[in-house]
Amino acid sequence: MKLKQALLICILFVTTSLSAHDYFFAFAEMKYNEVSGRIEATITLTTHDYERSLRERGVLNQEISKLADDEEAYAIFQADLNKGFKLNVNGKEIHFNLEGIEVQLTGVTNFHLSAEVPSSITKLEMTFDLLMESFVEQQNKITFIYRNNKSSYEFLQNKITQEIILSNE
Amino acid sequence: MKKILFCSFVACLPSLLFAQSKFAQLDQELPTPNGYRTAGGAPGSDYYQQKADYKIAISIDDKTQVLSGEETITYTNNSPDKLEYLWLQLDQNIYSLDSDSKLIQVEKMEDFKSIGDVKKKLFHYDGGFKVESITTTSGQKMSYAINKTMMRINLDKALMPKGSISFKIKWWYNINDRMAVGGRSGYEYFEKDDNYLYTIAQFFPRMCVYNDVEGWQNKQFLGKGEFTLPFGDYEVSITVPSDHIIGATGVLQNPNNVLTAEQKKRFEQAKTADSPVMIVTQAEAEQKEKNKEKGTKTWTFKATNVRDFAFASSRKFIWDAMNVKVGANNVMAMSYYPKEGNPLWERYSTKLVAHTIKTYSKYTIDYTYPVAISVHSKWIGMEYPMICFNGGRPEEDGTYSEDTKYGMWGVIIHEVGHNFFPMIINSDERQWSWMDEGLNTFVQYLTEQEWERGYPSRRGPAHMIADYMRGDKKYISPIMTNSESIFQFGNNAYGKPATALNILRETIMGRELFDYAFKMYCERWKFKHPTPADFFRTMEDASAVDLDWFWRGWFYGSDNVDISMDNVKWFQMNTMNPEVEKAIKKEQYENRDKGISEIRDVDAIKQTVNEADPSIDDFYAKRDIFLVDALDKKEYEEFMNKLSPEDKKLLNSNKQFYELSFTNKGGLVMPLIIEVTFVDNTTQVFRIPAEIWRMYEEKVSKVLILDKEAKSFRLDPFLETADTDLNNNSWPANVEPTRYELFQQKKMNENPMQRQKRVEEIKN
Repeated sequence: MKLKQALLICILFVTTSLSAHDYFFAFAEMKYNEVSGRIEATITLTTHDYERSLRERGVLNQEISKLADDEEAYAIFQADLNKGFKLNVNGKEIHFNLEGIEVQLTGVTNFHLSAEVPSSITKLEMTFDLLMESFVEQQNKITFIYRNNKSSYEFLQNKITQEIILSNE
Repeated sequence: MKKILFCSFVACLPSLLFAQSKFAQLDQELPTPNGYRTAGGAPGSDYYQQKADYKIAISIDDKTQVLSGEETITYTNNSPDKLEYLWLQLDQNIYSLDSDSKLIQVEKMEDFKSIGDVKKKLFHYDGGFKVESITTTSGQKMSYAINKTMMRINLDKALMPKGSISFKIKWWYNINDRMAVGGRSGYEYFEKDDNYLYTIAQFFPRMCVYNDVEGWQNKQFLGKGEFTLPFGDYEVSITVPSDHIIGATGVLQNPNNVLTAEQKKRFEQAKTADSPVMIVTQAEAEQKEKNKEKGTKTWTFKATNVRDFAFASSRKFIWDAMNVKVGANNVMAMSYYPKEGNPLWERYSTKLVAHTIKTYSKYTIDYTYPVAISVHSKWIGMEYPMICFNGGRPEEDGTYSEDTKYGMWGVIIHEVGHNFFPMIINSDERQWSWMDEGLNTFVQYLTEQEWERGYPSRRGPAHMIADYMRGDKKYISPIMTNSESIFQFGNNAYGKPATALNILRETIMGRELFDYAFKMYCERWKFKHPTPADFFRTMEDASAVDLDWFWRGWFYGSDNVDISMDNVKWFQMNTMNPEVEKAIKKEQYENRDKGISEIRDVDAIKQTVNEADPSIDDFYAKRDIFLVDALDKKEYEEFMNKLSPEDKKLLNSNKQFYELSFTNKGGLVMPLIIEVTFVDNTTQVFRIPAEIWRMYEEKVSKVLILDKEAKSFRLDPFLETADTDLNNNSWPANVEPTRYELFQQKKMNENPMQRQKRVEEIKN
C-alpha cells in the first residue's frame, strides 16, 4: 500500500517546463594549485538560468549583475554554490570561498572559488548537481586540471557524483 | 617471407579501415537521391508539397482566459498518393492532464526536498484542446480519433492525388498562465493594473506535413521537438476586448473597424518611415489600462503562403512601426510591448527587427512577407511566421543591466531570424532541431556582428563551444539526433551547428564559397521542406568542396577537436660551400656539450704530454679538419658548375626546415593552422587542409620551409577550430591560464563604480 501511495504521489508531482530556448548547462574548470595548496575553480553558468533558479527557490530575486559587489549576496551565493558544487578530498568535505563574480555580456556568469586542501591529494569525490533541482534538463561538466593534464567529467540527473583517484608519483 | 608479408598486411588492415572511416563518403548515411530530391541537394522534378488553407474565427474571454474557435480547413493533396486519413496536430494537449510529456520526466525523491518543490510538482491544470465537433462543410459529422497530441480524421472516401477536402473543427481550451506553467504561448497577468497580455500560438488544430520523406509526420509533441507544418493561406478573425491591440501573422484587413483615425494616420506614416513611428504611445496605452472598455472588437488578418499563424493581444500594448526596404519589397517592421518593456523596447525593438530582416536577406533570401513583428513577453523567445515573442525586461524602476540589454537584443535577432529558418526554409523541427535553431543561430551571429562591432555573441565563435565538446562522448549527442533525445539541447542544437557553419565559412571553405553555397541552399528550399541531406549536398554541390568528412565528424559524430603539436625538428639546407659548411661545423664543435671532466681538466692538467713534446703529434693530430683546402674548393666549383641558375639561387637561399609532428587526440579531424614566430618577431601563418589526416588519422608530420629562423610555433592561433586543449598547441610549450588565474590577474581592489568615483574626484 505504501509503495502504491508513493508511486501515485510521484506521478502527480510531475511538472514540465516548456520554455523554448533554454540552456541548462553549467561548466566548472577546476585546478589543483600545488604551490598554494588550494583547489581553484570557476563555475560558468547561464545567468538567466541561475537567476530563475534562485528566484523560484526563494533565495534571491534580483539580477546577479546588481549583486556582484554586495557582501550579503556574496554569502548567499557562496552557500548556494557550496550546496551544488561539493568536493570531498581524501574523504574530507571541503568548503569553497567565493572570491569573485563576473557577469559576462554573452549571457554567462563566472563564479570564481577556491578552497584549501590537504597537501597530498589521492582521491577527489565531486558532486555537481547545481541547478538540477530547478531544471530537469540540467547537465553539468567539470574539467579538472592536474599537473597540466586535463580530464572532463559529466554530471547528469542520475549521475551527480564522480570520483578521481590521483597518482602522486 | 610470404608469411611475414601477410602478417604485416593483416596488422595494417584495422588501421587502413579506420583511416578510411573519417573521410569515407556519406553514401550510406544519406538517403538515395530520387525524383523528389536530387543528388545535388535541390528539389527534384517530382518534388511536391501539400497545401493547407485555413479560415479561422476565434475569441478570447478576458475574464476566464478561455479561447474558443471554429475553423474551416481546406487541404489539397499534391502528392502522388491517395490518402485514406488525415493527421492533425493538437499541440495544446501537452497540457492535458494525461500528457506524456509529464510522464516521461525522470525523477528522484531528492526532487521533492522543499514545500516549494512539492507545490510546484503538485500544480497541474487542464489546458488541453476540447474538440467539440468535426464536420464536413455541409455539417455532417466526421469520424476521428485523438492520440494524445495527434488527431486522425478518417475519410469516408480516400483523398486522391490533386484532390482537396474541406472540413470544419470547433474547439476551446484554457489558455495557460505562462508565468506559472511555462510554455511557448499563454498569458501574462499584470497584477498592478489588473490586465492580461496574451501571446497566442498552437491555438488551433493544425495539419501535419505529409511528404516524400516521412509520409505523415505525426511524431508526438513531447515538448522539445517543435513544429512541422505545411504552407497555406490563412484568414483569421480574432474577437477580443474592444480596447485591445492585436499584432498577428499577416496583414490587417479591417483597420477601419479596429483602429482610431489617429492610429490609422500614424500607421500610414509608418509605412514609409525609415525610423519607428509610434502608432499607440505609452501614455495612450496607460490610459487604456485604467479604463478597461467593456465591449469587443473583431480583428481580421490574412496571410499568404505561411506555415502557421500566431498573434498577441493586450490593452497594454504600445505599438510602433517603420518601413524596411528589402529588394523590391516594403516590409513593415513593428513592435508591440507593454510599458514594463520600456525604455529598452521603444528604443531598440523595431530597429532590431529591421536590421535582422535586412541582414538575413543578405545572407539567405529576400524577406518576402509584408510584416515582421517583435512582441515583448517576459522570459521567453519564441517564433512564428512574421511574429515572435521576446523577453528582455528592464527593472521596475526603468533601469536595466548591460546583460539584460544584450539578452534582449540577442533574443529579438534570433526570433525574428526564425522567419527564415524554419518559417520560410521550412525544415522538419519535430525531427531535426538543428536545421532551424543551428542555421538560425549561425546567421544570428553574423547579424549581431553587423549590429555592433565586437558584439558579445554567445554562440558562433569556435572557441566558445570547446567546453561542451570535451568530455565523455557517451553524453554528447551527435547533431544528427532526434530533437527529443539530445543531451545538452542548447549546445547541441544551437551552439554546435552554428559553430560548425562558422568554421566552414571562416576556415574550411572561405567566405566566398560558403556564402554562395549557403545562399543557394536557402534559394532552393525557400517555401519548401528541406532535409539534412539537401543541406549537406547543396553545400558541396555549389562549392566543389568535399565536406563529407566534416559532416561526418561534426554532425554525425561526437568527437572533439584536440590536436597537439608534439615536436619540432629543425634542419638547415646544406649549401655545399666548404667555406660556409666547415665554419658551421667548427662553431658547432666549439659549442658542443662538454663533459664535466673535460671542463675541469682544462685547469687541473697544466700540460699534457703532447703539449710538452712536439714529436708526439702526427699528421692526424696536426691537421685542421675545419680548414678549407684546395680539394674542397675544387669539388665545390665542380658541383656549382653542374647547377642551373635557379638551383644556385635555391642553394643560397638560406632556407630553414622545420618538421612539426601532430597527434589527433580528440578524434575530430581539422585543418592545421600554424603560426610561426621568427627570431625577428615577425609572423607567418600556414593553413594545411584537414585532408592531411586522410590516411593517417592519429599522427601526422609536416615540414615547413621557411626563409628565416623560427623561435616558436602555435597551432590554431586564431581559435578557429574549437580545440578543447590549448595547452598542447605551442612549441616551446605554453600553458594557458585557467579562468580563475585570469580573474586573479585582472582582479581589481575596487568595483567599476568605486573607480569612477575616483575619476570624478580627480576631475573636481
